Amino acid sequence: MAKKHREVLTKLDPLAVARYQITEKDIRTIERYLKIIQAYLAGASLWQEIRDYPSAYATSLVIHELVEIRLLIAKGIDPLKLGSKTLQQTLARNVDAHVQAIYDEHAYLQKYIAGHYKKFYQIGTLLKVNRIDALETDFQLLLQSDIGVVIVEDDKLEDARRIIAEMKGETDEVP
Amino acid sequence: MKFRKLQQLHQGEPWEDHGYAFEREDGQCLFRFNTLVWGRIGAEYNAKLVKQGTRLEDVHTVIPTGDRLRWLEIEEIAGDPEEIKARLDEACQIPRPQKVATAKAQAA
Repeated sequence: MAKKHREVLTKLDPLAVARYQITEKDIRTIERYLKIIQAYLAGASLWQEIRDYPSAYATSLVIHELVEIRLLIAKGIDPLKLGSKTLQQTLARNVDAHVQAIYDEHAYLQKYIAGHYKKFYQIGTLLKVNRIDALETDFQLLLQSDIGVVIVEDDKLEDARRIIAEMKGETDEVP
Repeated sequence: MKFRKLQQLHQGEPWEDHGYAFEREDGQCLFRFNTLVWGRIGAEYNAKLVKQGTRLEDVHTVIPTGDRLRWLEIEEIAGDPEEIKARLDEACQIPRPQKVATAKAQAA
């Protein structure tokens, strides 16, 4: 395994590593998966974000990709054997994998924030501030899925936004 | 509605529509992307477009392209913006929100 995969695994939240049984091989799979799906992207990439962001936030990104990949594999799809276009088409036919990945990513953030900041936010609240997208693409996908009731606490959005920013290392107040 | 298509190039195939930026009534430009591919990167580009107040003609300065990705010139179509966006979404194979049960049934 490459040093870069070991480095990423080492910096992840150990509780999440244990819970999701994340291995170095998983990290390598995530890198290859992202390089297929985002092959043509110029500029920012998710793999680079996983490498650059601090521990807990990077862990949330890893959980998202891992859940998506494992769900595809559970359906008999090996995403690493597909080309960029075929993988895009496969994902489009399996949107539920992406929706579940969004849910797990934010369930992890919810649990981490509850433990470290002693604050509780609904998953809808966290998703709303974590995807600062005017079109709310992922939020709409989750909202209209059958995954459960999505609650947004309007009065907590600003507070949640500040904590997510801290987790991304955008301020100096990371606990 | 004014918009600019984003196209991608797969090996051995012609350029394909992949996403688009469009102009809202207030002149603000937004990026409509396939979240299954772009994920949080696309969301962050949208935040940047809003923060910087980027105009449609300048979208390429925020969302960069490369050998396999290109922005086309601005186009304008008259009509209901929501209907135009629905057609563009379909052309760009951008998934629209739907029940997971429906998605599962379609995949089966």
